[in-house]
Amino acid sequence: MIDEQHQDLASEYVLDALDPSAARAFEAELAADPELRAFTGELREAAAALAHNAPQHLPSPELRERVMSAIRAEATPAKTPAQPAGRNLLPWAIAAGFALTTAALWYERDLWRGETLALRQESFELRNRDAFAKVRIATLTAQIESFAKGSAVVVWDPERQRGVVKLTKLPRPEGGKDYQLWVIDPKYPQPVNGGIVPVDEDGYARVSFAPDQPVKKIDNFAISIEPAGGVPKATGPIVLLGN
Amino acid sequence: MRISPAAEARSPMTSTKEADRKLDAQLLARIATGDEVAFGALYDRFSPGLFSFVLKMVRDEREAEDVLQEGFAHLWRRAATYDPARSSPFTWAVMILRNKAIDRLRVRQRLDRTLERATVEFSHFPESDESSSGEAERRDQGSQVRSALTLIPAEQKQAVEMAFFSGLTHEQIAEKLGAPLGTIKARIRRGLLKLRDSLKENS
Repeated sequence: MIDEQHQDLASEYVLDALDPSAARAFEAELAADPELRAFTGELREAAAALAHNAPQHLPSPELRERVMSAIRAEATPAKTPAQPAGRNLLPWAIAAGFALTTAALWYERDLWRGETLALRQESFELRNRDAFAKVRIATLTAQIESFAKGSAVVVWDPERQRGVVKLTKLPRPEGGKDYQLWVIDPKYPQPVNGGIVPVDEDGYARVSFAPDQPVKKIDNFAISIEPAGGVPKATGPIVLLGN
Repeated sequence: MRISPAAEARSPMTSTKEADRKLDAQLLARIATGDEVAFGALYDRFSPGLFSFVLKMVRDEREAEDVLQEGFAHLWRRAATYDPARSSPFTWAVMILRNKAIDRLRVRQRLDRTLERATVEFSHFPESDESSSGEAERRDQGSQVRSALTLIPAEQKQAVEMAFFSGLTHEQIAEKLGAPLGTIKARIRRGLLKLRDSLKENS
């Protein structure tokens, strides 16, 4: 019979909610107690089943090819714990490079532990990468009186060629229209498409984007109104422009 | 979830689950040897379910795809460490992807702070509502889990789902819900136990 305290610990353990020292202590108990181990395994399966309680969406077909290309570019999978692959896994926003508390690392006790360790090592590597200087932050303001209350901030990571745009207080575009982000790089005669930016009822949006084409030097960002779904070349009025 | 051989014999659904689990474990074993075909097959089997739940966590399709790509790269590199005695292959994958998504969510929290700082520093960007609209749930898959969740008291379900999908610590959940930490822990424990029991019964 598993007492309540250990049931609590098992619940927290499977949700990765224990701090490192508590997790280590619990793993020591797991190693010595088959009943607790079985109970924890059952809770882990139950927790993972929650993944089925998500609205069904399919990844884009292109993603499969990207994933396959990525793994082909790697060597045969390692049979020992792999080194963190920060070059591919660096979330662009890590570039903000905050001062972070150091994650405690510990030795592997078993294979599952090894998984956790690898993930934390990876996270640790990412958090310590100081790329703040590379990130560009631009603010966009209204160019048309009726959009005067609206504004936007774009954070751009040139290394990852990724960014996030955050809009606020923009009126919803009329039917059949969308807001679309443009990246202005002098290398190209036309602004580069950054994708549509759907706003909610309050005129708010927060969208990550990757331009259609590689950009090296960014002169500015702009938001225009375009036909729903976006267009490859800007046609509509520019409502917000970088300062 | 452990299922007795007798129950397995009675339930075609359970037999199918066990067969799926064996197949997935075999695919992982082949992936551990560098078998790209097996990897592609596992991707096709897992990616719809994994993408859906990651999208529910990060609420951004592009980021969800990034997480999926990172997660599958991790599965490719770490397939040899999968231990069938500890979990099903899908559970193993879910927990890896969940950790990746939580990393993203924590990065996003820091990014949001950067955005706020940037707006104060560079402009007079007005305060905005950070709340995001909820997603309407489709009911065409995962009916077993959804059915099981209906049997769990609302407070427990809320706490369990917040703990699983949001990446918040139990302390943060307690703060958000305005309940003592001990209460939140108990709700999560009881919710998970009921979910386990309901899923067992449905099997």
